[in-house]
Amino acid sequence: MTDDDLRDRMRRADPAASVRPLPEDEVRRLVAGAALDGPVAPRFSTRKLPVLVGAAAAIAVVAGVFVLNSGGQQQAPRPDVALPTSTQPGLENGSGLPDNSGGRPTTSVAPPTGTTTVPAPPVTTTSEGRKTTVVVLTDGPVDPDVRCRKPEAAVLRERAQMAFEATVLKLEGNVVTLRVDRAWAGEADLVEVRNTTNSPMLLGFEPEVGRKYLVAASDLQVMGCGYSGIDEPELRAVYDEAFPKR
Amino acid sequence: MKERASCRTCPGVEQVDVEPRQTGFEAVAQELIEPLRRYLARRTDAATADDLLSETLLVAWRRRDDMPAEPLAWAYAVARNCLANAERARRRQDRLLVRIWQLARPPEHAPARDDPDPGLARALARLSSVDAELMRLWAWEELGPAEIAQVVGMSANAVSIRLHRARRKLKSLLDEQAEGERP
Repeated sequence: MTDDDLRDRMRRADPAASVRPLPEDEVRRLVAGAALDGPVAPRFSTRKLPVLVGAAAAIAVVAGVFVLNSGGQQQAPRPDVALPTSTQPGLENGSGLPDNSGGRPTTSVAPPTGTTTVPAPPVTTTSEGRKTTVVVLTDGPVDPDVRCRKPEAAVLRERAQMAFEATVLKLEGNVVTLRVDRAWAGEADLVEVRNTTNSPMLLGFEPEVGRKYLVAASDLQVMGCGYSGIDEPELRAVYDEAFPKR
Repeated sequence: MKERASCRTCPGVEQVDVEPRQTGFEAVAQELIEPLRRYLARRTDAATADDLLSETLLVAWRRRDDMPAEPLAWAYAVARNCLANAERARRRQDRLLVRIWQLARPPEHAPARDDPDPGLARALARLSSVDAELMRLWAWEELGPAEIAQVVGMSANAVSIRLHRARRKLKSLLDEQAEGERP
Protein backbone atom coordinates (compact mmCIF):
# COMPACT_ATOMS: atom_id res chain seq x y z
CA MET A 1 0.00 0.00 0.00
CA THR A 2 1.43 3.37 -1.02
CA ASP A 3 1.01 6.62 0.87
CA ASP A 4 -1.48 7.72 -1.75
CA ASP A 5 -3.48 4.53 -1.29
CA LEU A 6 -3.55 5.08 2.42
CA ARG A 7 -4.64 8.67 2.03
CA ASP A 8 -7.36 7.69 -0.41
CA ARG A 9 -8.69 5.09 1.98
CA MET A 10 -8.76 7.62 4.79
CA ARG A 11 -10.51 10.17 2.60
CA ARG A 12 -13.20 7.68 1.73
CA ALA A 13 -13.84 7.28 5.45
CA ASP A 14 -13.85 11.02 6.12
CA PRO A 15 -16.56 11.67 8.75
CA ALA A 16 -16.97 15.19 7.40
CA ALA A 17 -17.87 13.98 3.92
CA SER A 18 -21.54 14.50 4.69
CA VAL A 19 -21.05 17.99 6.09
CA ARG A 20 -22.84 20.38 3.78
CA PRO A 21 -21.85 24.04 3.51
CA LEU A 22 -23.80 26.40 5.71
CA PRO A 23 -26.19 28.87 4.12
CA GLU A 24 -24.63 32.26 3.59
CA ASP A 25 -26.89 33.88 6.16
CA GLU A 26 -25.77 31.43 8.79
CA VAL A 27 -22.11 32.04 7.96
CA ARG A 28 -22.66 35.78 8.33
CA ARG A 29 -24.47 35.28 11.61
CA LEU A 30 -21.67 33.15 12.99
CA VAL A 31 -19.00 35.59 11.99
CA ALA A 32 -20.99 38.52 13.28
CA GLY A 33 -21.12 36.78 16.63
CA ALA A 34 -17.36 36.85 16.85
CA ALA A 35 -16.16 39.60 14.64
CA LEU A 36 -17.27 42.91 15.91
CA ASP A 37 -14.12 44.80 15.18
CA GLY A 38 -16.05 47.52 13.44
CA PRO A 39 -17.68 48.67 16.65
CA VAL A 40 -21.24 49.74 16.23
CA ALA A 41 -21.24 52.07 19.14
CA PRO A 42 -23.50 54.99 19.75
CA ARG A 43 -21.97 58.38 19.82
CA PHE A 44 -23.38 59.74 22.99
CA SER A 45 -24.07 63.38 23.32
CA THR A 46 -21.72 65.31 25.49
CA ARG A 47 -24.64 67.03 27.05
CA LYS A 48 -25.57 65.64 30.39
CA LEU A 49 -28.42 63.26 30.84
CA PRO A 50 -31.21 64.48 32.98
CA VAL A 51 -30.76 63.99 36.64
CA LEU A 52 -33.82 63.99 38.77
CA VAL A 53 -32.54 64.34 42.22
CA GLY A 54 -29.40 65.56 43.85
CA ALA A 55 -26.12 66.75 42.52
CA ALA A 56 -23.81 64.81 44.78
CA ALA A 57 -24.72 61.41 43.44
CA ALA A 58 -24.08 61.64 39.75
CA ILE A 59 -25.42 59.37 37.10
CA ALA A 60 -23.77 56.06 37.62
CA VAL A 61 -24.64 54.08 34.61
CA VAL A 62 -25.31 54.90 31.06
CA ALA A 63 -25.90 51.75 29.18
CA GLY A 64 -26.19 51.72 25.43
CA VAL A 65 -27.42 48.46 24.10
CA PHE A 66 -27.57 47.30 20.58
CA VAL A 67 -29.45 44.30 19.56
CA LEU A 68 -28.71 43.06 16.10
CA ASN A 69 -31.56 41.03 14.86
CA SER A 70 -31.14 38.44 12.24
CA GLY A 71 -31.19 39.57 8.68
CA GLY A 72 -34.45 40.04 6.94
CA GLN A 73 -36.42 40.84 10.03
CA GLN A 74 -37.58 44.33 9.45
CA GLN A 75 -39.60 45.03 12.54
CA ALA A 76 -39.42 43.48 15.93
CA PRO A 77 -42.65 42.89 17.75
CA ARG A 78 -41.27 44.71 20.73
CA PRO A 79 -38.03 46.27 21.84
CA ASP A 80 -35.31 43.68 21.78
CA VAL A 81 -33.01 44.89 24.42
CA ALA A 82 -31.21 43.54 27.40
CA LEU A 83 -29.38 45.91 29.58
CA PRO A 84 -27.00 44.59 32.16
CA THR A 85 -26.36 47.26 34.69
CA SER A 86 -23.62 48.20 36.99
CA THR A 87 -23.95 47.63 40.66
CA GLN A 88 -21.97 47.49 43.81
CA PRO A 89 -20.43 44.36 45.22
CA GLY A 90 -22.67 42.67 47.70
CA LEU A 91 -25.86 43.86 46.15
CA GLU A 92 -27.93 41.66 43.99
CA ASN A 93 -29.26 44.16 41.60
CA GLY A 94 -28.50 46.96 39.29
CA SER A 95 -31.37 49.15 38.28
CA GLY A 96 -33.66 46.45 39.57
CA LEU A 97 -37.36 46.31 39.58
CA PRO A 98 -39.49 49.22 40.50
CA ASP A 99 -40.51 49.27 44.10
CA ASN A 100 -43.95 47.98 43.34
CA SER A 101 -42.63 44.85 41.68
CA GLY A 102 -42.24 41.41 43.03
CA GLY A 103 -38.58 42.12 43.44
CA ARG A 104 -39.21 45.05 45.66
CA PRO A 105 -37.07 45.61 48.69
CA THR A 106 -38.23 43.90 51.79
CA THR A 107 -37.20 46.91 53.78
CA SER A 108 -38.93 50.10 52.97
CA VAL A 109 -36.39 52.47 51.57
CA ALA A 110 -36.83 55.71 49.77
CA PRO A 111 -35.37 55.81 46.29
CA PRO A 112 -31.67 56.48 46.53
CA THR A 113 -30.65 60.02 46.14
CA GLY A 114 -29.37 60.75 42.72
CA THR A 115 -31.14 57.93 41.03
CA THR A 116 -32.55 58.62 37.67
CA THR A 117 -33.95 56.16 35.26
CA VAL A 118 -34.59 57.35 31.78
CA PRO A 119 -35.66 54.53 29.55
CA ALA A 120 -35.61 55.71 25.99
CA PRO A 121 -37.58 54.23 23.18
CA PRO A 122 -35.51 51.98 20.96
CA VAL A 123 -33.97 53.39 17.86
CA THR A 124 -34.19 51.15 14.91
CA THR A 125 -32.00 51.46 11.89
CA THR A 126 -31.47 49.03 9.12
CA SER A 127 -28.12 48.35 7.57
CA GLU A 128 -27.76 45.67 4.97
CA GLY A 129 -30.72 43.77 6.31
CA ARG A 130 -29.79 44.13 9.93
CA LYS A 131 -31.70 46.10 12.43
CA THR A 132 -30.01 47.88 15.23
CA THR A 133 -31.93 48.87 18.28
CA VAL A 134 -30.43 51.44 20.55
CA VAL A 135 -31.62 52.24 23.99
CA VAL A 136 -30.14 54.46 26.61
CA LEU A 137 -30.86 53.97 30.27
CA THR A 138 -29.52 55.84 33.17
CA ASP A 139 -29.39 54.48 36.62
CA GLY A 140 -28.22 55.80 39.91
CA PRO A 141 -26.22 54.28 42.70
CA VAL A 142 -27.80 51.40 44.51
CA ASP A 143 -28.73 51.90 48.08
CA PRO A 144 -26.83 49.40 50.20
CA ASP A 145 -29.79 49.08 52.53
CA VAL A 146 -31.99 47.69 49.81
CA ARG A 147 -32.61 43.97 50.03
CA CYS A 148 -34.49 42.03 47.45
CA ARG A 149 -36.73 39.04 47.77
CA LYS A 150 -35.72 35.82 46.18
CA PRO A 151 -36.52 35.81 42.45
CA GLU A 152 -39.88 34.30 41.64
CA ALA A 153 -40.85 32.70 38.35
CA ALA A 154 -44.28 34.31 38.41
CA VAL A 155 -42.77 37.77 38.67
CA LEU A 156 -40.28 37.03 35.91
CA ARG A 157 -43.02 35.72 33.64
CA GLU A 158 -45.23 38.69 34.30
CA ARG A 159 -42.66 41.43 33.93
CA ALA A 160 -39.92 40.31 31.59
CA GLN A 161 -40.46 41.17 27.96
CA MET A 162 -36.98 39.88 27.27
CA ALA A 163 -35.16 36.99 28.86
CA PHE A 164 -31.90 35.80 27.41
CA GLU A 165 -29.09 33.43 28.06
CA ALA A 166 -26.08 35.33 26.74
CA THR A 167 -22.34 34.76 26.63
CA VAL A 168 -19.83 37.55 27.00
CA LEU A 169 -18.01 37.69 23.68
CA LYS A 170 -15.63 40.51 24.36
CA LEU A 171 -14.72 43.31 26.68
CA GLU A 172 -13.41 46.41 25.08
CA GLY A 173 -13.02 49.40 27.31
CA ASN A 174 -16.40 50.05 28.78
CA VAL A 175 -18.25 48.03 26.14
CA VAL A 176 -19.31 44.52 26.91
CA THR A 177 -20.63 42.45 24.03
CA LEU A 178 -22.80 39.44 24.66
CA ARG A 179 -24.03 36.84 22.24
CA VAL A 180 -27.58 35.68 22.86
CA ASP A 181 -27.48 31.91 23.04
CA ARG A 182 -31.08 31.39 23.93
CA ALA A 183 -34.08 33.63 24.11
CA TRP A 184 -36.88 32.69 26.45
CA ALA A 185 -38.64 35.91 25.61
CA GLY A 186 -37.84 38.55 22.99
CA GLU A 187 -35.44 38.13 20.11
CA ALA A 188 -31.85 39.19 19.72
CA ASP A 189 -28.59 37.91 18.39
CA LEU A 190 -26.13 40.25 20.03
CA VAL A 191 -26.17 42.66 22.90
CA GLU A 192 -23.64 45.39 23.40
CA VAL A 193 -23.52 47.22 26.68
CA ARG A 194 -21.75 50.48 27.21
CA ASN A 195 -21.00 51.15 30.81
CA THR A 196 -19.78 54.61 31.65
CA THR A 197 -19.40 54.05 35.34
CA ASN A 198 -16.03 53.51 36.88
CA SER A 199 -17.18 50.18 38.20
CA PRO A 200 -16.09 47.09 36.31
CA MET A 201 -19.16 45.24 37.52
CA LEU A 202 -21.81 43.77 35.28
CA LEU A 203 -24.91 42.37 36.91
CA GLY A 204 -23.03 42.32 40.17
CA PHE A 205 -20.00 40.46 38.82
CA GLU A 206 -16.93 41.38 36.91
CA PRO A 207 -17.66 40.23 33.36
CA GLU A 208 -15.49 37.52 31.92
CA VAL A 209 -15.21 36.60 28.29
CA GLY A 210 -16.91 33.29 27.64
CA ARG A 211 -19.05 33.46 30.77
CA LYS A 212 -22.76 33.01 30.45
CA TYR A 213 -25.32 35.33 31.97
CA LEU A 214 -29.05 35.19 32.28
CA VAL A 215 -30.50 38.58 31.53
CA ALA A 216 -34.10 39.66 31.86
CA ALA A 217 -35.37 43.07 30.87
CA SER A 218 -38.57 44.83 31.71
CA ASP A 219 -39.61 48.08 30.14
CA LEU A 220 -36.18 48.52 28.66
CA GLN A 221 -34.52 48.05 32.00
CA VAL A 222 -32.59 45.12 33.26
CA MET A 223 -34.40 43.32 35.99
CA GLY A 224 -32.03 43.32 38.90
CA CYS A 225 -32.73 42.03 42.36
CA GLY A 226 -31.27 38.70 41.38
CA TYR A 227 -33.40 38.27 38.25
CA SER A 228 -30.35 38.80 36.05
CA GLY A 229 -26.95 37.40 36.78
CA ILE A 230 -24.44 34.70 36.11
CA ASP A 231 -25.94 31.57 34.62
CA GLU A 232 -26.36 29.34 37.63
CA PRO A 233 -28.74 26.45 38.14
CA GLU A 234 -30.89 28.24 40.70
CA LEU A 235 -31.48 31.26 38.48
CA ARG A 236 -31.91 29.09 35.38
CA ALA A 237 -34.58 27.11 37.19
CA VAL A 238 -36.51 30.33 37.74
CA TYR A 239 -36.27 31.13 34.01
CA ASP A 240 -37.31 27.61 33.01
CA GLU A 241 -40.27 27.74 35.35
CA ALA A 242 -41.27 31.19 34.14
CA PHE A 243 -41.00 30.29 30.46
CA PRO A 244 -41.83 26.61 30.07
CA LYS A 245 -41.17 25.02 26.72
CA ARG A 246 -44.14 25.06 24.44
CA MET B 1 -20.55 52.62 4.00
CA LYS B 2 -22.23 54.02 7.05
CA GLU B 3 -25.80 54.67 7.80
CA ARG B 4 -26.64 57.37 10.17
CA ALA B 5 -29.78 57.33 12.22
CA SER B 6 -31.02 60.20 14.24
CA CYS B 7 -32.59 59.64 17.58
CA ARG B 8 -34.54 62.68 18.49
CA THR B 9 -36.43 61.06 21.28
CA CYS B 10 -33.55 59.45 23.12
CA PRO B 11 -32.01 61.46 25.89
CA GLY B 12 -28.29 61.33 25.58
CA VAL B 13 -28.26 59.91 22.11
CA GLU B 14 -27.93 62.11 19.10
CA GLN B 15 -26.72 59.85 16.38
CA VAL B 16 -25.80 56.29 15.80
CA ASP B 17 -23.44 55.10 13.15
CA VAL B 18 -24.07 51.63 11.91
CA GLU B 19 -21.31 50.04 9.89
CA PRO B 20 -21.88 46.97 7.77
CA ARG B 21 -19.00 45.35 9.66
CA GLN B 22 -17.46 43.77 6.62
CA THR B 23 -14.00 43.92 8.03
CA GLY B 24 -10.80 42.12 7.25
CA PHE B 25 -11.38 39.64 10.02
CA GLU B 26 -14.88 38.86 8.86
CA ALA B 27 -13.75 38.13 5.33
CA VAL B 28 -11.06 35.77 6.60
CA ALA B 29 -13.38 34.16 9.14
CA GLN B 30 -15.98 33.44 6.49
CA GLU B 31 -13.36 31.53 4.54
CA LEU B 32 -12.35 29.58 7.64
CA ILE B 33 -15.81 28.46 8.68
CA GLU B 34 -16.21 25.48 6.37
CA PRO B 35 -12.72 24.00 6.99
CA LEU B 36 -13.28 24.47 10.72
CA ARG B 37 -16.69 22.81 10.57
CA ARG B 38 -15.20 19.81 8.85
CA TYR B 39 -12.26 19.73 11.27
CA LEU B 40 -14.64 19.67 14.24
CA ALA B 41 -17.09 17.24 12.63
CA ARG B 42 -14.24 14.76 12.26
CA ARG B 43 -13.39 14.91 15.94
CA THR B 44 -16.54 15.36 17.98
CA ASP B 45 -20.30 15.00 17.90
CA ALA B 46 -22.46 17.39 15.91
CA ALA B 47 -23.79 19.40 18.85
CA THR B 48 -20.36 19.89 20.38
CA ALA B 49 -18.96 20.78 16.96
CA ASP B 50 -21.53 23.55 16.61
CA ASP B 51 -20.67 24.96 20.01
CA LEU B 52 -16.97 24.75 19.38
CA LEU B 53 -17.24 26.45 16.02
CA SER B 54 -18.65 29.55 17.69
CA GLU B 55 -16.06 29.34 20.41
CA THR B 56 -13.24 28.94 17.91
CA LEU B 57 -14.39 31.99 15.99
CA LEU B 58 -14.60 33.94 19.19
CA VAL B 59 -11.08 32.99 20.24
CA ALA B 60 -9.84 33.74 16.74
CA TRP B 61 -11.41 37.15 16.94
CA ARG B 62 -9.82 37.83 20.31
CA ARG B 63 -6.44 36.74 18.99
CA ARG B 64 -6.83 38.27 15.57
CA ASP B 65 -3.64 40.27 16.00
CA ASP B 66 -1.74 36.97 16.04
CA MET B 67 -3.44 35.65 12.95
CA PRO B 68 -0.90 34.93 10.22
CA ALA B 69 -1.36 35.74 6.57
CA GLU B 70 -2.10 32.07 5.92
CA PRO B 71 -4.52 31.49 8.77
CA LEU B 72 -5.83 27.98 8.21
CA ALA B 73 -3.35 25.99 10.28
CA TRP B 74 -3.46 28.67 12.95
CA ALA B 75 -7.26 28.41 13.02
CA TYR B 76 -7.05 24.62 13.31
CA ALA B 77 -4.73 25.09 16.28
CA VAL B 78 -7.30 27.37 17.90
CA ALA B 79 -10.04 24.81 17.26
CA ARG B 80 -7.82 22.07 18.63
CA ASN B 81 -7.39 23.98 21.88
CA CYS B 82 -11.11 24.62 22.13
CA LEU B 83 -11.73 20.93 21.55
CA ALA B 84 -9.21 19.98 24.23
CA ASN B 85 -10.86 22.40 26.67
CA ALA B 86 -14.27 20.94 25.92
CA GLU B 87 -12.95 17.44 26.44
CA ARG B 88 -11.45 18.44 29.78
CA ALA B 89 -14.72 20.01 30.85
CA ARG B 90 -16.60 16.92 29.79
CA ARG B 91 -14.22 14.70 31.74
CA ARG B 92 -14.78 16.83 34.82
CA GLN B 93 -18.52 16.57 34.37
CA ASP B 94 -18.33 12.85 33.87
CA ARG B 95 -16.08 12.22 36.85
CA LEU B 96 -18.89 10.72 38.88
CA LEU B 97 -19.81 8.43 36.06
CA VAL B 98 -16.36 7.09 35.43
CA ARG B 99 -16.92 3.83 37.22
CA ILE B 100 -20.10 3.06 35.34
CA TRP B 101 -18.52 4.04 32.07
CA GLN B 102 -15.53 1.80 32.70
CA LEU B 103 -17.76 -1.14 33.43
CA ALA B 104 -19.85 -0.49 30.38
CA ARG B 105 -16.96 0.20 28.05
CA PRO B 106 -16.49 -2.42 25.41
CA PRO B 107 -13.13 -4.17 25.60
CA GLU B 108 -12.06 -2.98 22.18
CA HIS B 109 -12.65 0.08 20.12
CA ALA B 110 -16.12 -0.20 18.67
CA PRO B 111 -16.51 1.81 15.49
CA ALA B 112 -19.70 3.73 15.03
CA ARG B 113 -22.43 1.73 13.39
CA ASP B 114 -22.39 3.94 10.32
CA ASP B 115 -18.60 4.05 10.07
CA PRO B 116 -17.81 3.56 6.38
CA ASP B 117 -14.52 1.79 7.14
CA PRO B 118 -14.56 0.06 10.53
CA GLY B 119 -11.21 -1.57 9.86
CA LEU B 120 -9.55 1.77 9.36
CA ALA B 121 -11.22 3.13 12.50
CA ARG B 122 -9.90 0.18 14.50
CA ALA B 123 -6.41 0.64 13.10
CA LEU B 124 -6.41 4.38 13.83
CA ALA B 125 -7.53 3.64 17.37
CA ARG B 126 -4.45 1.51 17.86
CA LEU B 127 -2.11 4.39 17.04
CA SER B 128 -1.09 6.78 19.79
CA SER B 129 -3.41 9.77 20.00
CA VAL B 130 -0.71 12.07 18.63
CA ASP B 131 0.07 9.79 15.70
CA ALA B 132 -3.61 9.34 14.90
CA GLU B 133 -4.08 13.09 14.91
CA LEU B 134 -1.09 13.54 12.59
CA MET B 135 -2.66 11.05 10.22
CA ARG B 136 -5.99 12.86 10.29
CA LEU B 137 -4.40 16.23 9.67
CA TRP B 138 -2.42 14.75 6.79
CA ALA B 139 -5.25 12.84 5.12
CA TRP B 140 -8.37 14.77 6.02
CA GLU B 141 -7.18 18.33 6.43
CA GLU B 142 -4.59 17.72 3.72
CA LEU B 143 -1.89 19.63 5.52
CA GLY B 144 1.84 19.39 4.93
CA PRO B 145 4.33 18.79 7.74
CA ALA B 146 4.98 22.50 8.32
CA GLU B 147 1.27 23.22 8.69
CA ILE B 148 0.69 20.17 10.85
CA ALA B 149 3.56 21.35 13.04
CA GLN B 150 1.75 24.64 13.51
CA VAL B 151 -1.45 22.88 14.55
CA VAL B 152 0.04 20.45 17.03
CA GLY B 153 2.88 22.63 18.32
CA MET B 154 5.78 20.44 17.20
CA SER B 155 8.69 21.17 14.89
CA ALA B 156 8.17 20.44 11.22
CA ASN B 157 11.06 18.01 11.34
CA ALA B 158 9.56 16.09 14.23
CA VAL B 159 6.22 15.97 12.44
CA SER B 160 7.85 14.60 9.28
CA ILE B 161 9.52 11.81 11.22
CA ARG B 162 6.44 10.91 13.28
CA LEU B 163 4.17 11.13 10.28
CA HIS B 164 6.39 8.75 8.36
CA ARG B 165 6.34 6.27 11.22
CA ALA B 166 2.62 6.67 11.77
CA ARG B 167 1.87 5.96 8.12
CA ARG B 168 4.07 2.88 8.24
CA LYS B 169 2.39 1.67 11.42
CA LEU B 170 -1.09 2.28 10.07
CA LYS B 171 -0.33 0.45 6.84
CA SER B 172 1.08 -2.42 8.85
CA LEU B 173 -2.05 -2.62 10.99
CA LEU B 174 -4.28 -2.56 7.94
CA ASP B 175 -2.17 -5.26 6.32
CA GLU B 176 -2.51 -7.38 9.46
CA GLN B 177 -6.27 -6.97 9.29
CA ALA B 178 -6.31 -7.94 5.65
CA GLU B 179 -4.19 -11.02 6.42
CA GLY B 180 -6.53 -12.02 9.21
CA GLU B 181 -9.57 -11.68 7.00
CA ARG B 182 -8.20 -13.95 4.29
CA PRO B 183 -9.75 -17.42 4.29
